[in-house]
Amino acid sequence: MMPISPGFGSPYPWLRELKSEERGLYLIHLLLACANHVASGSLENANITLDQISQLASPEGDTMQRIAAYFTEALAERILKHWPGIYKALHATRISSVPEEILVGKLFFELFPFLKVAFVVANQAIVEAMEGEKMVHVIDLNASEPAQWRALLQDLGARPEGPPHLRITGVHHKKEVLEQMAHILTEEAEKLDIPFQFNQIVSKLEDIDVEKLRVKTGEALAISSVLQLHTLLANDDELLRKKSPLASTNANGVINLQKTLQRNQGTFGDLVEKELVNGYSQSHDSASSLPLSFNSSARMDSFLNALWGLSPKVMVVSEQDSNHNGSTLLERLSESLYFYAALFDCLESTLPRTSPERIKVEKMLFGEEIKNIIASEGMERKRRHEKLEKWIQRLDLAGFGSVPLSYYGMLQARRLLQSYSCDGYMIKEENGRLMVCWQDRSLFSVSAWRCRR
Amino acid sequence: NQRPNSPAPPMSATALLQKAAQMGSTRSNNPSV
Repeated sequence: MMPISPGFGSPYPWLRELKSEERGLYLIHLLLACANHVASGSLENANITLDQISQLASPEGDTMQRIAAYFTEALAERILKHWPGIYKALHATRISSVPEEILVGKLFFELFPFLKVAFVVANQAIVEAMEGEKMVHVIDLNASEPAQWRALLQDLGARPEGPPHLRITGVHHKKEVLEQMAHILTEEAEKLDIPFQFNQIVSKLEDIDVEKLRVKTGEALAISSVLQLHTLLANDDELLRKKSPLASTNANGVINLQKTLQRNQGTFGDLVEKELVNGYSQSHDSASSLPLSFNSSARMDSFLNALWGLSPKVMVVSEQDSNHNGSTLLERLSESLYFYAALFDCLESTLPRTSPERIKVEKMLFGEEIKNIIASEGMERKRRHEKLEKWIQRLDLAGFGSVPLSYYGMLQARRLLQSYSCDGYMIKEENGRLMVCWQDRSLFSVSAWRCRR
Repeated sequence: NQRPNSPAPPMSATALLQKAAQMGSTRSNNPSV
């Protein structure tokens, strides 16, 4: 057992001698070791591991150092939740600032091609579905970025048959965000001389009453959801577990990395060997051991059914294409490590390490998402990203049929990526659906749907 | 084609994760290593 140093200097001076690659590999090992300790409830060992990671991780270092900094913070937060009093006290003075939130959303839009691709493809699908329609209503389930609708106004304004009457209903939990959007879009519509109305619905998606979306007869409806549907998967896991007789069975999650590192003594050599003494039992986290089949969400089902009831001519869904909704902590940790590693690598190849924008987006967007995935359970765990195949199943069950994205939409997406100065980004096309990839890893998916009768 | 004295470019986080996973599978296929 390692000695715990109560005070000054590093108790592990050898850690600082590691080269970038060794350090990266060792950080991966430590993160998985720590997650194992947290999952099995050995907080003392988790604490020691966190101490070691803190010698190596840094939000301003290389990619792995940066990711490790946010994953450790998330693991620590999870541990801290064992003491609700301390947890609440430490968060008592936290201030959430709307302008900062808006800024971070803008940075994500600007620094990555994902939203731009999603917008271009979605707008093309909407324009095609609305051909010849005179009254068009678009519902944006996550109305935070006006750029998409500004572009749609321009597309509709250039229609050979002339622009329709356009109504956009924006759903967002912050009034300021919607007001800003209303202002920008109204101005644009006036400039283009398009009859336009913007409805604001100040609400979280989970609280929305579909009746409030005020869909009128005679108007052609399009629905757009950008990186938002997964929040409706938040479940009261605790309640489900009580109902389920299979409650205590392990979800049988195969965790490659975790297994990998268990067998790893020879490769990391003596460095790692002593860590393994801590033991890697296939423990399951007391707070999360639901079998996957119980992950279905009644709320999601009823929401999709309600949307189906509105008979949209087209619905475009963009989602993170990765499974961060596994039932065990270790599944979620290893899946999200890959996903966020790719996102951090994107930034590493486009911005300097000291860029304040980069640090902001890493900390305030990705860091917070990682924290939610790792440290939260039940209704609090909103970042329940799931892979496209799951969305296909779910939307199909709710009565939606696939609308293949058109050749022209795909072409625009490819052109947009080509205009990026970074060649790690790729577009993958599968059965008329689109994935934006970093190298060969799919990160975001875009798919279009309509009501199947 | 690197000159012997120039340092290798740092590995991406993705590459490190792949390497970590690969090291594990090599070991599991070849327990004598």
